[in-house]
Amino acid sequence: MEMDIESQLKLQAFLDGELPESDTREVANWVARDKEATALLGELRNTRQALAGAEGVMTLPESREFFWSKVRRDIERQEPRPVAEARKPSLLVQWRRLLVSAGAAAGVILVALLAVGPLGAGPSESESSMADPGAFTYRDYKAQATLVWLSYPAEKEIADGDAADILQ
Amino acid sequence: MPVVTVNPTAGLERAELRQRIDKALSQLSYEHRTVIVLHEFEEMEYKEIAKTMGCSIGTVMSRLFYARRKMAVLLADLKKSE
Repeated sequence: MEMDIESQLKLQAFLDGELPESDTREVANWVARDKEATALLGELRNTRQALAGAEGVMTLPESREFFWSKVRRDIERQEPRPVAEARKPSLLVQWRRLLVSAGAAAGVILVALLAVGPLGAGPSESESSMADPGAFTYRDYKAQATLVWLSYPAEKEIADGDAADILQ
Repeated sequence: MPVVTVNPTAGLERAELRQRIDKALSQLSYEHRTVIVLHEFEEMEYKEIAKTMGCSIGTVMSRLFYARRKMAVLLADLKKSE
């Protein structure tokens, strides 16, 4: 039966001294009685020792930090960079984008103004009644007022001439 | 993946060992190479590597494990092709 990845990682942590104290003894016992675990631990140990040996060989002309920073830069240089990072938009493209954004913003403002209506003048309407052609109604929604004009003489008890009725 | 039982770098001259390790490292992916360099040469702990590489400790452990196993195979192959 093949060892599961969790056990393999535990074995590696044991080798690196990164295992909690409580697990260390358990893994040591496991390695002692399991040949597969012993073989894998041996392989991991050999690789680690080989790498440690290679580091000892190096006679660095620079400081350790500078040498490894160079290695890092080399690695990064070999990796392909994302396309978006490599290409920077030209000045013309940037201006075009700015104009498109500004135009869109102006359009939205214009539509909003038209929806609200002309500045300083609230919506209003006037109408004359079909049933009574002598009456004329004017509504001002902004002032919340309605004016009714009666163009013919009303009954004597109300008024002698034209009368106006204001409803609010 | 079968375990590499023989030490593939045993008895090698130091310069040759270095050359082989360089060659094997160059065949690893960027993530595997980085985790090997940080752990084996910079002597960082799992937690520090996770912080440096911006990943979880579990990911570091997994990458390090597969990087080491790949290195073992690559070094064994280089030994065979002598």
